[in-house]
Amino acid sequence: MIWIRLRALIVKELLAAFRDPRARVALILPPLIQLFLFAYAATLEVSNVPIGILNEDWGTASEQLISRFERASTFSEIRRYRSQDEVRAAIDNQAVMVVVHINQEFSRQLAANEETTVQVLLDGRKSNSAQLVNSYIGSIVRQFAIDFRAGNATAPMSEIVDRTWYNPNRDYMTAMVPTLIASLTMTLVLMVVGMSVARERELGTFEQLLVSPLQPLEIVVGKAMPGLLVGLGEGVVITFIVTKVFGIQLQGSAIVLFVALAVFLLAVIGVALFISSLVGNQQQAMMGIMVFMMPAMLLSGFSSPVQNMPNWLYPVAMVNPLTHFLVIVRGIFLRDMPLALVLDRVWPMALIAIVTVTTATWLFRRRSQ
Amino acid sequence: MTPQARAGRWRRIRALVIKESLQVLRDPSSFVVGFVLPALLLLLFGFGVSFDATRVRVGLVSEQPTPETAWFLSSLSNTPFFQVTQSSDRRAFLDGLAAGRLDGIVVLSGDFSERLARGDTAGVQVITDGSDPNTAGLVSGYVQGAWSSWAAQRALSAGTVPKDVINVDSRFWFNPELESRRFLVPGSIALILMMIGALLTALVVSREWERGTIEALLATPVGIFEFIVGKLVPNFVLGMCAMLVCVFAALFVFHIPLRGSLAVLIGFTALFLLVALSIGLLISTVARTQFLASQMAMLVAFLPGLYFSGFLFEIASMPSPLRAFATIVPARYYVRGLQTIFLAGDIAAVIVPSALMLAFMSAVLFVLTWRNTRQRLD
Repeated sequence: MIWIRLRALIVKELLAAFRDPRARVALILPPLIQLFLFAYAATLEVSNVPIGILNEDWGTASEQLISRFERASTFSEIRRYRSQDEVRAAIDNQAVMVVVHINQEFSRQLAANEETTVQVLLDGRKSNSAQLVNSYIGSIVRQFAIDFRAGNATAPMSEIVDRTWYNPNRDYMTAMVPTLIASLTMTLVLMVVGMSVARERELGTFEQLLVSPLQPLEIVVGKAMPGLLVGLGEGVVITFIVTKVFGIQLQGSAIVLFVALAVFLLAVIGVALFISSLVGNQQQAMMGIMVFMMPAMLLSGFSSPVQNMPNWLYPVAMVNPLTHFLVIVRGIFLRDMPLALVLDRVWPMALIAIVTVTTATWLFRRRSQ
Repeated sequence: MTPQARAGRWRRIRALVIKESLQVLRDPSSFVVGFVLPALLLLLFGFGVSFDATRVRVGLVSEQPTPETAWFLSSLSNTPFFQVTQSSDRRAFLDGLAAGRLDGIVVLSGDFSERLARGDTAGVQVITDGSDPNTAGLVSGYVQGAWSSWAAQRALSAGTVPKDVINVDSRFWFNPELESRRFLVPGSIALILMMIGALLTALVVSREWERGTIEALLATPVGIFEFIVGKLVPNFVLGMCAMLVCVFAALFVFHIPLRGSLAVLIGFTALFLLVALSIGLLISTVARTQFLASQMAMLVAFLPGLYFSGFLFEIASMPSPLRAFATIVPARYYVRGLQTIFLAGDIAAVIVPSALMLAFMSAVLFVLTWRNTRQRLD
């Protein structure tokens, strides 16, 4: 009997979420757009930027160095300036992000085996990009110095062996796209579950549901199941697109990934039910979802690493299910994370799920009395 | 227009502005959009998001400890950026790297000292976690830097000529401390204003469509122009208040310098807010339900503001279709001007073109909204 009731409720919920064509578009289109936007737009890498040169040196060495900048893929073009004033104006106007200043003694000092200095002026308004450009320039200059010396008799500068595991080219797309399995399913499930209760409340059908033979727990399960199904479905589709369209290989086990996804989604569903048990209409539900979603996204390690956060924010990151699931997604997708380590991150999500779902059930029960 | 008609118009506009202001003030959700979300976003971007890897967790492995490895290791662990754990076996750290508990491993091979004595390539290996490319790059950059300064120091103490003959002297203008907060906070102000402008306006107007009160309103002597102005003014005031709160927080909570003038900042913000409000109005005339309006506002205003404003991601690095798209994203011009006003000063060459672009956009959007609203009612 309970199964028949539950099945009826789940079918009704799925129909309610996807019957309206505009709502269907609003649920399906944004995740897809985000997937492709994110894949191509979300890069902290710097390439294709112009570089300014102020060359006061008349020798050949400086031109050799400049031709190295010309060949580097980071820089789109070389812009030459003739004076400090021009350089200042160019950086102020953001015509260039960086200017390399080579002094008039450069070739002479280099030929005489003396120490020389190249000045790099950067626009700190975008400090992250500026730091990256600075390190590219540093490595070009270092390599130039080594090669310049190679002609001479002195020993080459010893180099460090630098290896990047899991994503050897430090490719942003490879690192970022799999994390969308976490963030996009979270957004979708919050919308589907959070809005469904709010819609019923706005239309007044929620009271009808409460006076039906359904128990509060059954209502919670009936509201949760469609979200879980939709979320898992979307997770599978995104995983498929990530592996087939973007060609990013899944290193670990897909089954472990989807089991972890289910636990994660349960935690998110609990939050959505919790929000929807507090609000009265769809607009308030939307606001509640936004108020949860923004901190959840920004304090999860999705956009910047968790360990860069101040200590007092760290506990917030730990009760955020997304933090844990992102570690799992990155781990399984890119690193073939061992099962024991995955479990370390699954149980906190399970705990969050139990707490949120129980609270939501309790709130529904209180409403129904 | 006769003087009486003009007076009537102003009276109607005033009445509408009062009605709309009351509506904004009464509705808890506009309080959330107007105050809670902006404060939350500002705090999150100010405290929670940071690209400054100040606590990079590395595992140090020295397979065969010698005085030289100890010397190099101490110079590595002395940097404030590293949180170091040591071991003599790299296997101790492999799980940590796989679990994401470590950002990198630095291995000094067993023949570190012999290689040094031979003048061979260094017996140092850096292993970084490529699943976070930004941190991976920073880790190897730090280790490279530590290595070359250590090598120079060692060469100096041994009396040989330092091998690094070309020094790179880098100066970061406007932000010498390299705090990412200094560009993230101005960027988040753009997002906040976009949200107040576009999302709140779209919700408020689409509610009138949804409930059918808009027909009732326009059956009165109120014209379309008056209707639009009545909707815009309260949200404009709300947006400007939010901007002042954000600027106050940026200056006194996050200690971001304001090198330009407050007047330019306010004027420039007013222009951007006009664009954001017009986007919200246009959305509300297309989407008649609140759910659809909020989805569209997210898609048309918020996401482009996040991705294509150049405050998180570098536009120049994107593929050319996306670069082309970025030229029509208003937030991009605003963020560019805002970062300049805050960190560099009133530089006309940046601010004037951006301001003209924003003015042009708001004019186009205003005309579109006006025509759209009229059509919907005919």
